[in-house]
Amino acid sequence: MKIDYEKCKACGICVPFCPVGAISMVDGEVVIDQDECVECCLCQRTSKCPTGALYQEALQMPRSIRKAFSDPLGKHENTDLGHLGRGTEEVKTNDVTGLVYGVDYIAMAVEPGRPLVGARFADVEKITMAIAPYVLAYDQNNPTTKLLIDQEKGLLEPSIKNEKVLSCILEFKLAIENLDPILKVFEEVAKEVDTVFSVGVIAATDEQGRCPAEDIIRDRGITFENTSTKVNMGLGRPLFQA
Amino acid sequence: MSHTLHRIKDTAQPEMDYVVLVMPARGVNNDDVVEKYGKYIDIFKKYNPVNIGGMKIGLLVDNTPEELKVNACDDAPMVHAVFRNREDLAGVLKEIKEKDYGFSVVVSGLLDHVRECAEKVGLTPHSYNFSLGVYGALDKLPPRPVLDICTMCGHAMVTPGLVEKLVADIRKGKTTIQKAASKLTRPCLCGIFNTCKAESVLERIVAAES
Repeated sequence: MKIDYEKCKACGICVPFCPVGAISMVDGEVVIDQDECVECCLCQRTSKCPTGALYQEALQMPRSIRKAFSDPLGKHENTDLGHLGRGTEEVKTNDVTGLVYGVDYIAMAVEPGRPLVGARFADVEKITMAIAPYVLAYDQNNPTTKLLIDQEKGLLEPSIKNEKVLSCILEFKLAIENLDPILKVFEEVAKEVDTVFSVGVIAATDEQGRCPAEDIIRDRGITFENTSTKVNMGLGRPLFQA
Repeated sequence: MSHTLHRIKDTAQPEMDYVVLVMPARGVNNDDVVEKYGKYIDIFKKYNPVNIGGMKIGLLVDNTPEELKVNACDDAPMVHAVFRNREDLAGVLKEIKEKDYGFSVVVSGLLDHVRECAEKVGLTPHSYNFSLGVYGALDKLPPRPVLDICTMCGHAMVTPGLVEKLVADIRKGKTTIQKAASKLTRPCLCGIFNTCKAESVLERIVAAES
């Protein structure tokens, strides 16, 4: 995001709207730190700048990736998906798509940068490299997957590593017996990254409505009392049949 | 994305935050999307929604349910509604089950509460997305009550800076808690922000600072 200083009256109305604190007042002037800006357009869309001084130039790769991931209305034009959003339908339509079924395999959604911190892809790669031994397959409809040049090693496209986004999502399947080991990996890589990451586990129920993955998670002392869980109610039609 | 996951809860406070998400599976059952979104909105509006909305549809704070139905379009990926108690959640689930329009339905909320409502209306959960929390440089996170508000937008469009500014404005008498909560609702384009919960958290923040 840029500022047209011929229009800007330095009122500062846009400053609190930046989710990563990239906009500040310096010596009576509004300044956007271009290295920190994630091109989410929130300031332009929501702050109601009285003079219309905020504008976004046409972005080129690799910077355009910031907008694709950070702006909820940004499209992933630099992948072959061309869709809105940072991830896929995941559990939302799992009753119809069967992304995850049975109890032998689960999926995970690991989201570097969330909540409210943002992440550079250099840190994202620390995570993808750490989890590589446990990943069975990345979701091919996920835009972050398209940035992996070596999925077995967890290597990302080098040109994007300094790009910063509000968040991106790593979506992958793994065998349920690897859930406990990968949670230990998260604890270790957490010490190495200069950001935060949120972790979600997508798991189906068995014919009796039980969910073995939930037991593994609870055995690690993780409860579900301080955060929301997403529950697919099985009302989609036609229901997925294995 | 998992935009309704990871909403931070305060167990010391009464729970008032349940999100219902309705979504067709692209390439499988995304037929008659506009008509069906309208039918789901017709159900939502009967159960005292705090918010209804979706990307490319709009928000209840700026539209009537009828206007949201008019705004609905084929490329809107999903529609949401937010409810403040389990009675309304159970009611909306019961009616969605009975009408059986065929889109996938996901509820985000405290796991025990969602299960209780599902059981009440005879639904067995198909699958889950469990939040295992946040790892990494936790010192970079905003303070807890601010986090309670901001995590209600999974795209991070409700910023800590805006919460802090509005809290300051409330204390100076420049705005009210209700107006501040409405202002916080608008940046969340998906319509999953809970204005009612935001009012409650703002009240606590302001009271604590007074």
